[in-house]
Amino acid sequence: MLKLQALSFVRYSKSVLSNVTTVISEGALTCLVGANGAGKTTLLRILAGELRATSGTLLIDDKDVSGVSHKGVAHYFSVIPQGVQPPPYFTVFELVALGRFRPHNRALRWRLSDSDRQIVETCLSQCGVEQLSNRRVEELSGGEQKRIWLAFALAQEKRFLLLDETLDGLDVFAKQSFFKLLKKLVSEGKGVLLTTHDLDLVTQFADKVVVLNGGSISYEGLPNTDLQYLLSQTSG
Amino acid sequence: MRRVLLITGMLVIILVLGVLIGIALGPVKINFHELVSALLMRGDSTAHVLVWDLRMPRVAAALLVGACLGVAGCLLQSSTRNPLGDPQVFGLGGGAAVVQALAMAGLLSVGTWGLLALSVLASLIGAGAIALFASRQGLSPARLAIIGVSLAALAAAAATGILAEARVFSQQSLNFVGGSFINRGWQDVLPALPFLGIGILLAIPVIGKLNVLALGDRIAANLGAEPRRTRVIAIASSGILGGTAVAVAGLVGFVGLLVPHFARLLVGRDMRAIFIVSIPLGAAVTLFADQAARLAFMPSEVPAGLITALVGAPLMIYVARRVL
Amino acid sequence: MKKGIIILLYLFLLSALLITAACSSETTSTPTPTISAQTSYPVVVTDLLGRSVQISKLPTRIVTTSPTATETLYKVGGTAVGRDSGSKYPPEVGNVTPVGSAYNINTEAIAGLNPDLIIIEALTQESAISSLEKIGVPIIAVRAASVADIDQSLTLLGKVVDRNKAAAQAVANINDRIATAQGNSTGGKSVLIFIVDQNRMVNAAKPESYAGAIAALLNLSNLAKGLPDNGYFDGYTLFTSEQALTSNPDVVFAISPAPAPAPRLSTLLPQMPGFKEMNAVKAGRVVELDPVLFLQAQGPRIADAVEEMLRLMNEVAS
Repeated sequence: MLKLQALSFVRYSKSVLSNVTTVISEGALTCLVGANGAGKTTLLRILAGELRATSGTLLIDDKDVSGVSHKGVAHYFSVIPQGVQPPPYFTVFELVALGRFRPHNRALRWRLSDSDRQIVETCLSQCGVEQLSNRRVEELSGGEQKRIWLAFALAQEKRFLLLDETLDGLDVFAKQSFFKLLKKLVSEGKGVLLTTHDLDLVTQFADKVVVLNGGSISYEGLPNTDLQYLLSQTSG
Repeated sequence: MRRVLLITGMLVIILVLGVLIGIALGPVKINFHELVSALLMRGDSTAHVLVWDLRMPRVAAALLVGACLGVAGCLLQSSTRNPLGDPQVFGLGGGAAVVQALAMAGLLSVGTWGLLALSVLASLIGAGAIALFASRQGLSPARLAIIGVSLAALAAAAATGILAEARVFSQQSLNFVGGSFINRGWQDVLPALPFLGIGILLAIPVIGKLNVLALGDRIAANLGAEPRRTRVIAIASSGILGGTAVAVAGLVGFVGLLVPHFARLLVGRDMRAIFIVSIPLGAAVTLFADQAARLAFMPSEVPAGLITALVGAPLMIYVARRVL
Repeated sequence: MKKGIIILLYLFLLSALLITAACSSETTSTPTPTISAQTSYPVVVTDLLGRSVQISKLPTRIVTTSPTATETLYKVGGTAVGRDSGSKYPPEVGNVTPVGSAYNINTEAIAGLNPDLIIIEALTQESAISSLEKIGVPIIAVRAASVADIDQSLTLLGKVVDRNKAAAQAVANINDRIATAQGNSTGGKSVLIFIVDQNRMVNAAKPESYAGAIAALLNLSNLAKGLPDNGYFDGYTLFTSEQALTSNPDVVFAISPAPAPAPRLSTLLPQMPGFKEMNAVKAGRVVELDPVLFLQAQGPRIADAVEEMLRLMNEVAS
């Protein structure tokens, strides 16, 4: 369980996040919504350990990790950044297999262990892309690629998935099936934090929604309110 | 894995063939018997001197430079995510070229070991510049290449200027390019060996991480691959290797650029495989280029850099079209 | 702007032709130059490119574009108002305005000096004639690839600037000194003359080159004779380390065109594979030749060069 307490982030004397307090649970799909520039990506980056909050605390399982290094925090999160591009020449299997990378790997160690291989194959089938195993990622459709990235994130076997605008560019059907997949993962115990603009689907699928408005939370809770209305209340 | 061994084995055979060509053939004819006795026994017959003092060091120099360039190329391409990465293109050899020019003008007299060390040091300056730019977000491959090309052009201009100012060559028109292995002896090769070793050893710990770097800095950091540090080490290693190559042979172009692509075609995309195969592949390519330069117009010679340019430029255009 | 100058030059040419046509009712044309005490203008001479050139009056504003031209002119007692930047001899040419270099002829700058005669070098500057012609003054080509060339060039310029007697004396003097040197030379020794080109390849001077011709005058056996003409310099051949391994001249001459502190070729040879095996190199019988005398300033100083080479041979091959 992630507890964010009064997190603030200031950059170039501008307040990007102020007083963000919320809880993100495992086994739940939490959607972070807000206008562009509301601070969604910044929040994700702070969670992932890329940025350090200017003030406030981050607790993981009630342990204060605010001062922990990037590497220490990365242990908990898989990140899929916004606009991620598949590297050229990688096959689906190879890309997902990179999720098994651990920093202490000996540099030229050769094979994936059997257990690693098993994990990769499981993740591939969980995301429904196992039949694409030997295809090059760059040649596949947008929807397929997102699933592959998801499989990659899963293969890291971390407790939380941080997905930044991952639905971007998908058609309505692809988005729906992606959401369904996320729900399935969540039911298996993962904690998923997804930023998105797709309010309808959020209302339909999310377990919890957090609305960011100019850097602070204007609503958090079940997605049964009129999110459109909330968002239209943006302060300048 | 098996594939890597197979390919490496084949390359080694090709290399041995190339070495044999390099020591057996040439303007001065020696027959098989003389060759064998020169190889196996001590002596100071003409054949012996020919093989050990003339042809061997030249072959060794070509192998060494080829290995340097091949590895430097694959390190650069993967660490900067740029398929045009090449120590010459990115200006990593530039500092070394300037040092060489100073030496030719007689403005630097530090002996071969000192010259090599200085060349490597100077190349690290270029490497530092590239590392700086490569770490900036949002720098497209083309832009990074342009920066590198500018650095290289700057260094070439400086080197040419030094040579022109010192009136080292009596002709006014200077092209300080055309890396070559002509007249290279053991005194050129031996000081370079440790630098080849250092460059390779420095790179080994980061090879695995370079695979992850392909996913982007954020994901790589999230996986614990320390992208910045990995990149700096990879570029520094390329700088050492590139500087060594220029110090020995001048600017031999296109090897660092094309060898990683061929390696990838041969053994797949895993950086570890590419790294291992780049060593013999780069060595073989350079060796054969130099042999062609040496033997194709006997008894005349052309610089090996000319051959690599003639063959490499059209190939590079092909690669650029497919990949950019 | 450039167009304007070209138009002006064409007008100049036109008027020069008209004036020449008007002034010459009977032209004394002598197709082959003969040594006479005085030149009467206008005169037609044949230069070293075989071109017929008419000189209408005594030239007083001469521009030379190569050390060969400069030195030949000054040897017969002529003077120039403009020279190429590479001409450094005799010492008084230091005061003459430099206009461009021998490798890069600057037609505009030359035109700016308002010359009435331009003397070029036949072997390397023939292509510049079309550009220089636009200035509209006579152009004469001299050459110094052999003693005969030098004799002919001296005689030619002597005629052109009306210093026929001085020219004849110069010719006699040069041939005398060469003959003396030849008499003093024991000959029979073998040599190789090396220089490094910009690709760092060693070139050897063949008998067809200037330095090679000088060696031939002294009856030295040039081991580069008969080798292909593929060197970077005219009349030179590429000399690989393998060839060096199997050649053994008595004496090696080295030309290092780059001034100090660039290293001398004679100091580099003992470190170069193949070359360091040559007996002459091992025994230290390697001598530096002055690049100016033996490569860059081909011309009347050939006698100096011959004498110098003889002196060096005696010093080293004893």
